[in-house]
Amino acid sequence: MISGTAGKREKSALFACLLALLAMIAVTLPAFAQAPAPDDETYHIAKKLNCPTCAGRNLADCPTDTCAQWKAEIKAQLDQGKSAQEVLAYFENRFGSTVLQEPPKSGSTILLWLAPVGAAIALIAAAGLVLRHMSKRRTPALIIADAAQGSDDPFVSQLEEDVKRSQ
Amino acid sequence: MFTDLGHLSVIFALAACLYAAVISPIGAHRNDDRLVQSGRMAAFMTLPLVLIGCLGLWYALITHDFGVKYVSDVSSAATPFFFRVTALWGSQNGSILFWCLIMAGFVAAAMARNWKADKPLLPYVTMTMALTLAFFLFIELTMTDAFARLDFPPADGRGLNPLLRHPGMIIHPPMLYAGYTGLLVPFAFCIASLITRRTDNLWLISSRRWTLVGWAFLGAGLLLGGRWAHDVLGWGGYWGWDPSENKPFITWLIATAFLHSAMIQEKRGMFKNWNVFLMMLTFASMFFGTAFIRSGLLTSVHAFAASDIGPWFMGAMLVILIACAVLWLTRLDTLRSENKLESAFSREGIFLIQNVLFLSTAFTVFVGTMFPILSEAIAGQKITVGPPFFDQAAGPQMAVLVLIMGVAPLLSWHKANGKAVWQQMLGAVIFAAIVMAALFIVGATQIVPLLGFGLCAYTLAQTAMEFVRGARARMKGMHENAFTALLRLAQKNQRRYGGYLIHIGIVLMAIGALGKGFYGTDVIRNVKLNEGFSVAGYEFVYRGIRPVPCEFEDCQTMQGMLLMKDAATGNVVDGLFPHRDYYPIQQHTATIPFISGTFNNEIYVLLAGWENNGATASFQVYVNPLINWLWVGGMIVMLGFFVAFWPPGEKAPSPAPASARRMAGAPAK
Repeated sequence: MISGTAGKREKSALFACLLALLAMIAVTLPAFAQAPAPDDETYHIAKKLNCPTCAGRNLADCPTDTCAQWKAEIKAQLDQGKSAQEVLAYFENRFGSTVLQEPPKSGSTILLWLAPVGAAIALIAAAGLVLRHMSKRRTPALIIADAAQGSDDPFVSQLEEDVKRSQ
Repeated sequence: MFTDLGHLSVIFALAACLYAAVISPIGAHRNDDRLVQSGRMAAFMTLPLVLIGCLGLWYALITHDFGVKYVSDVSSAATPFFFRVTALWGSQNGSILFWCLIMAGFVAAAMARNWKADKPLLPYVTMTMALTLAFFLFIELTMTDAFARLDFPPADGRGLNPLLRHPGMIIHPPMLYAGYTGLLVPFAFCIASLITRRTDNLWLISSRRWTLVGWAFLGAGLLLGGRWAHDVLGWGGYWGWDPSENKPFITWLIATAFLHSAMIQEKRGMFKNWNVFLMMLTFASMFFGTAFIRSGLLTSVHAFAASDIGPWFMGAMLVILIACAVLWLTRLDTLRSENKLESAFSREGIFLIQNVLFLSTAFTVFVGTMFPILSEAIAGQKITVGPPFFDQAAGPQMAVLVLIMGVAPLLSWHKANGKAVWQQMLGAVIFAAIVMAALFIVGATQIVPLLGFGLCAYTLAQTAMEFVRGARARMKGMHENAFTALLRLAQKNQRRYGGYLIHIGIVLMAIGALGKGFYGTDVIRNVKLNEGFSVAGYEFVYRGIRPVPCEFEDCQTMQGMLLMKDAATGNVVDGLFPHRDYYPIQQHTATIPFISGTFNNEIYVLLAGWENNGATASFQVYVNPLINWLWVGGMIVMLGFFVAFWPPGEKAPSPAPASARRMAGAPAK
């Protein structure tokens, strides 16, 4: 915040900005108003399975005959009164976890799930250590030089920058 | 005849590359400028030479010379002129030639630039670029020869892959190629800087705009690819985490990290070795991605580009990695920081955090993409990794990046003042809270998307405030009206405000992704003639199917008809005509969607099938809320790129008073 009046102006500008954005959001609201429609259970189970004949696509999107049989199997099991979970479990038991679109967060595929988490944590920790190391490695001479550079007063630091620029 | 001339010309281009790659360093070593200039000219000449090669192939395509194997593979007598032209990149062999053309374009442009200030880098820039181009020309000539002739020319060709007959496909591949090959320029500068043991930022400043061009092309290519998948592949969405999307996305993520961290080196002379590392990683990911998609090791929608060039790419990859590592490690002494870090709580600090998050996101996508291959190699079981993994593993990281986007601009260089930062955040935080409350009342009660929308609202408001603050300062100091102030503000610091525009675009895209991801639904319904079903407040009544003339001569089209009614009032809103195109020659069926609904609530319908001559039919209906925000956001990103990239015009008249300059140009306090 720069000064009293500027701060006030900024606030009113922010308020105007708020209103405009709120209006924008208000227009989008109908998108959330509806409840999800009841869905074909077969279709949604098929979406969670891999197709044996369409490499890289899910069962629901694959048009081959083999996949049609699988979908019929899902339908038959649902008609027997099995739940979606039970149908998925049936396919997993029969073909192994490779049949699932989402590899389970257990067994050997846990590695897949842990890798990104581990990488993110390790990288951020490393960055933190590097930052700490870099900011500790200061000599007194540098601190004096920095004191002139990194002033908290925005005017002074801008003055510094302007002087530098004009050189 | 002309086609064979083209073939010969490409061989000459390879020779010119090799000559340039050898003579340039010799010239530098002997300090003989004539040799260096000779290498420069040779590298420049690859453009006309490869162009003649492409013209040769184009000539064969346009004149229906089915004696050329490539021509008979990708076109037929019925292929319209327009698609005979774009068929140049319609399959593996031709597309590598086209890739070489675009790469040669970048090589020539880099050679033609003004080399006054950075002359010491020239020989090694020439060498690096010429060597890379030589590799691709070599692959083209030996492994994927587009000029090969058939002993017995067929009477007609097979026609262009039906998937590629879409306007998006005409610009999408050239864009991606330009993105990939454009990033070769900064890489070459980086290598040249290391070889010549320079300690300054010259390579970075000289190649800055090139990096931006490569980055923008890559982004635009991804966006157009998404649009193509949406319009032609019948994905229902815009993004399927397909390997062919993931690879360029990984490169784009790393390049984005580089664009940001390059700023630190420019402003503060820090993180030099990190920037070199990022540039090398960008290039390596580009090379690796190309190798994988081209070699067909990963099954994807790009399977048509599969061939056995994998080993060559892997070999080259290994050479590049070793060369980069050696170069980097032996030059670490030249990459020392010029300044010390004063505080981790500063622009420098948050940029580093942001950088590693970009890398970990890229790594996440990489692991998910490679896991099928890794699991098969290690455990003998090919585990498919579907979109849910990417959404859950990469999504949260990207959300944090959106948050950082709203915080980083508030942190000043050197050392940030925590209290001041919080004061500036407050307004946007309150705004986000209001938005979240409003959304909650309206019915968006799922906690994850609600938080996501709040995050987007915060970052959007914060970024908008950057413009407001700057413009207000100018209005006060220079007595300009709001419009002039905004315009001048952007003019004065194009890179900064172009960057903020890009941020706004990205946030809008995030809103679109959240809407589609969390509130999108899809159903598949089998209906009898004149009966209906309702989804998302609409009723869809099935009115039959009929054959209609296909857009192209080699296909048959069956069109379904649905009436879309407002479920509450019963009024007809729209007529929907999704269709299926069957291509007998390629034995391929394309499911072409029909798109309706409102801007915020797209209705996307596919004809899934029919029985008994259309007595019953199945339709797949996708409701895609807010998906259009994604395309709008993408356009704003491109606009931001143009603002950042546009050559600065003449300086704005009348020197600004110090106070106005302070507020308009200075980093946010």
